Amino acid sequence: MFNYWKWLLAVSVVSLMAPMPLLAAEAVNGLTSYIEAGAAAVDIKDDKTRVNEYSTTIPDDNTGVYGKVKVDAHEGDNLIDLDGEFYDSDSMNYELELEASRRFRLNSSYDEFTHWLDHDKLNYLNAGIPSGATAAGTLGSLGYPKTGAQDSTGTTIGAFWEVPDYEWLDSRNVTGYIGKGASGKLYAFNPASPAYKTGMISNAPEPITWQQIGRASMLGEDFVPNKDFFIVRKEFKNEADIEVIPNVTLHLGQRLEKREGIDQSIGMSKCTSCHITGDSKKIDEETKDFTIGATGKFGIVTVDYEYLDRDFNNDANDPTRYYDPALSPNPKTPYTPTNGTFDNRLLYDYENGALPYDTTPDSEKNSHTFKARVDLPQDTTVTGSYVHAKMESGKQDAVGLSVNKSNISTTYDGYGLRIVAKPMNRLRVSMKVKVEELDTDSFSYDMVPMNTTSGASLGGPSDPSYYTDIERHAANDGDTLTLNIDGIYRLGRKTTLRAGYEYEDFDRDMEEYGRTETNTLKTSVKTRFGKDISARASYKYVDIDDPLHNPDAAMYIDPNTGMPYYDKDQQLGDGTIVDGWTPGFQIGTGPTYGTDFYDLRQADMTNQPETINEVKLSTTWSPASSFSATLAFLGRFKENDLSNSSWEEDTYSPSVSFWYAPTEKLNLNFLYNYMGQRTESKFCQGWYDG
Amino acid sequence: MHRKVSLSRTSWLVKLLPLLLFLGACATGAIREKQLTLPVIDGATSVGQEACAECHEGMSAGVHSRLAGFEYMGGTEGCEACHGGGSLHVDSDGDKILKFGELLPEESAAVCAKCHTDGELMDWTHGEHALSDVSCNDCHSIHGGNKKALKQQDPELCYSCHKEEQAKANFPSHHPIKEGKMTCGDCHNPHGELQTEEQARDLCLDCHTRHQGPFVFEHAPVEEDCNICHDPHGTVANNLLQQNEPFLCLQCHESHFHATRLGNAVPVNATNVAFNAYNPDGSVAAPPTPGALAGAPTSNTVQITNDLGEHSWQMGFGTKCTVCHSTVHGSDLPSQSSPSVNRNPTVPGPIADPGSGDGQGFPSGGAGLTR
Repeated sequence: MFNYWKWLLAVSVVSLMAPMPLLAAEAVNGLTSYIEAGAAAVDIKDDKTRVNEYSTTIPDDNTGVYGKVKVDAHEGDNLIDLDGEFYDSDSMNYELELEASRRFRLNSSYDEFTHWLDHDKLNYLNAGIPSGATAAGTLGSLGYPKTGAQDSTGTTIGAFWEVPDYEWLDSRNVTGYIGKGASGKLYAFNPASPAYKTGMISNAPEPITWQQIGRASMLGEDFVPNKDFFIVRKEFKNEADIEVIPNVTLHLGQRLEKREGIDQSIGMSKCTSCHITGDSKKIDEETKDFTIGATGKFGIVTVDYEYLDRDFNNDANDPTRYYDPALSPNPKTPYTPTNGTFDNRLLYDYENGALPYDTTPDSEKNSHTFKARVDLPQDTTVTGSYVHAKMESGKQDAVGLSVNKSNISTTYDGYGLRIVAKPMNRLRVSMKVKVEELDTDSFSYDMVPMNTTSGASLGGPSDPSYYTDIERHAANDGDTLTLNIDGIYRLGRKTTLRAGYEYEDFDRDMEEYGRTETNTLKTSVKTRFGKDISARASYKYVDIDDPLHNPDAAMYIDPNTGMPYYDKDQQLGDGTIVDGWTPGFQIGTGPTYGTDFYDLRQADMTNQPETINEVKLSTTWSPASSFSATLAFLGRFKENDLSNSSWEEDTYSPSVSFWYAPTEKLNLNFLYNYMGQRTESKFCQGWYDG
Repeated sequence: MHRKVSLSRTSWLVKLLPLLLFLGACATGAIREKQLTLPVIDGATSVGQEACAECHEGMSAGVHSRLAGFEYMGGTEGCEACHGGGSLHVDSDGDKILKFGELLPEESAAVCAKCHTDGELMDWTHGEHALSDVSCNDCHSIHGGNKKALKQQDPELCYSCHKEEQAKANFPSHHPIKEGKMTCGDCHNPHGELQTEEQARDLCLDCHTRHQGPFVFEHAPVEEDCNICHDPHGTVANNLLQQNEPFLCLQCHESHFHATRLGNAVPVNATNVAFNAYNPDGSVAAPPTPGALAGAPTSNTVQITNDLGEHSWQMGFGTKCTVCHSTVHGSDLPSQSSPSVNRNPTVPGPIADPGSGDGQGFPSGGAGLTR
């Protein structure tokens, strides 16, 4: 449909505009036109996502022709205004403005451009890959292909075999390493399986890049290393105003936005934490907005109403990953606490087949916005507003998940009241009250665990009852109250002093995230010295109590030791150490394995400040109507000091700019801006056990 | 009886309402001229549009020259609707007329408010620009200008004051403003606050609707305010992030093991097969101990040494969190972490009270946003 509209618009614009220059040349009253045609070239030597992220001229490393047309004709209170720019089949915009006796006004536009998206090469992920185990000889880690003989020490004889095309590995073939040969064949290697020494490691037929599995390691693999990713965004918009009766205007609006293209889809593969894969996925999204509303002006009262109906649809198929059954433990082997397990990653239901990931659900939204303004004597204005909005998205069960609601909705209600008055000749006061309520459906879901015969984890049978009816409450539900008062005092005809205070209270329903109270103080002076120089200085102080943060996000403290590591030893009064465990950090067996220790973490963390100090200074010198020079400075200092964590950010930004317009059609701008921003955070690097 | 009368009166009022509205609407202009505190030239009276045109030619550009009679809503029409009565101006040979460049910001705003009180303009009186003593004619050219009677195009006009935003718009990661595909006015209402009456997040969702949700598994800051992670005006970091990954994420989360492990020895008595590849076919009932399995190494200690040594920590620190947690804006699918992950190996026997600490974390951790 869009292609149809796109070319229809192009043809319409060209057809309509073709005779315009001739008419303009004949000096038709109220008609102006402009046509430009040319060629443009783009030569990209670097990553185009960095140097030509939005290609609005020529979309690729290429050369092409472009055209621009503009026609403006008006007669009395009728108007037609056409603008068109065409650069490429994926880069153009057209706009039509139409007025008929000022009682019907239409604004239509079509806009299209390409946004090149990043391609993450994933080649930095080998930083976490450990090298081979000494027990199996010296195997190379990723990036160190081995050819031919491998060292073998001790009594271990490795089993070695080829694994064609991810085929099912026999349960006996539990691998210690996987690798990819130079030919692309996949290999597996078991360093300790003497019963299946179908080949010696030394018989490796080709250079193989090995990766040890089952370790704290990561491997990134890009399945589409040379693919370009992009979104073509197309928006077709129409807005019409119709005078129904005197001073009552009907508003109609329609917007159709499509986003089409290919994006990178990165995530964990079947080998989960060790194996990250990058693939591509199709983007085919559509947002349809329809608005209807009306404005009425009745003396001192102005009333606005608008209804919005939005449909968002994702028409692209969900990307999928193909999952093999787990290699370890053997799913055919009943699980026992001593039989081992395939670590703790989700292999869902131990079934073969494709599972969707990186999905985008459809959603809907509708809202009612009602606003009214009353203008009273003595420069007093009262404005009230009410907004009711509802967003809804359908849900369905997925492998590993069962949700007890087929739709989840979020409801927003906002009530606003603003009063501006002039209680004294030189003083204006603005007051604002706003109450907002946000409520998302609570629901419950079941996590479907693996059954007990195919493997729970870590020393005990799974308990399905534990994973059912998990209640989910939205993080952002709550009530917000905003109070604001501003005073503007006119010190002189060209000088004003402003002081303001705002209080915001966001009381979240979810106690975990708490209640955020924000107090803001601000003041500014604006003045003009003589005819040529103006200046403005402002200062703002913000105090935020309990900003949104991740509670108990880091810093495990062992209750036995009071230290951030586990040590089960006890030291007696005479200095004797008892209880047998090796002091220090335990791998695979300590209390920091799994997630139980989360409750023992003590540091709250956030990137939100608790205090902000901001200073802004600027002055402009404008000796002529065609020239101005501006000096400006911004200093902003943010910091927080939460429980066991702190954060601060300092920003300095001076700038100087000049503007010169030697003719009406020529504007010259020069700006130099320096921005220095330094952020200092305390990170917590958990020495946790997997 | 009384109730019947009351209903009857109400009914009449309802019937009369359209008429009252119609009459009120017709007289809106006149009513507003009386109610608003407008600047005036004392003693000046109206002389009509034609008198102005005798001297002032070339004022036919811009929307104000095309206004239809009904748009004055019964108030003063033509040039004098804004400039006040012109009688003294005509007599004084060019003086004694309301000139917007000489009016105080609130005075010129009052003149404009004779008509402009709806839509985006409804919020002008308490908007940030009005409170900062900005005048309508600081940005608008009443007699001409472009489509919105602006003195310059958006964003150049906005940049004349908002230098920080001008600089940020030229940062490596930015919205397509300098490319001409967006303007400041797409998000900001210069006559009020933002182009939404809802939360700021709602504004972003107009275009980034895929993140609208609601989702089964959500990320709290995404639900609260996009600006917690993003700076929409432009950033040095990619994807308009306030900081590059993983540093942005690590301000709220601690990093995972894989970023740091330099290497360590697995204890001999480790029972986790993540650290050994024994017991492949279930034939051995107990975890192997040194020498227990023919052909097994004399020690099942496995050295985990990273070829990158200390640098692995540095490299690992450059790992983007979103390569695994790829759906940070919310997801309807559970994470790849098994729901059965959450057993505390130090607590023997069957699972205890889920709230006791033996089992905290997952499955609520199914919201790890990895899938």
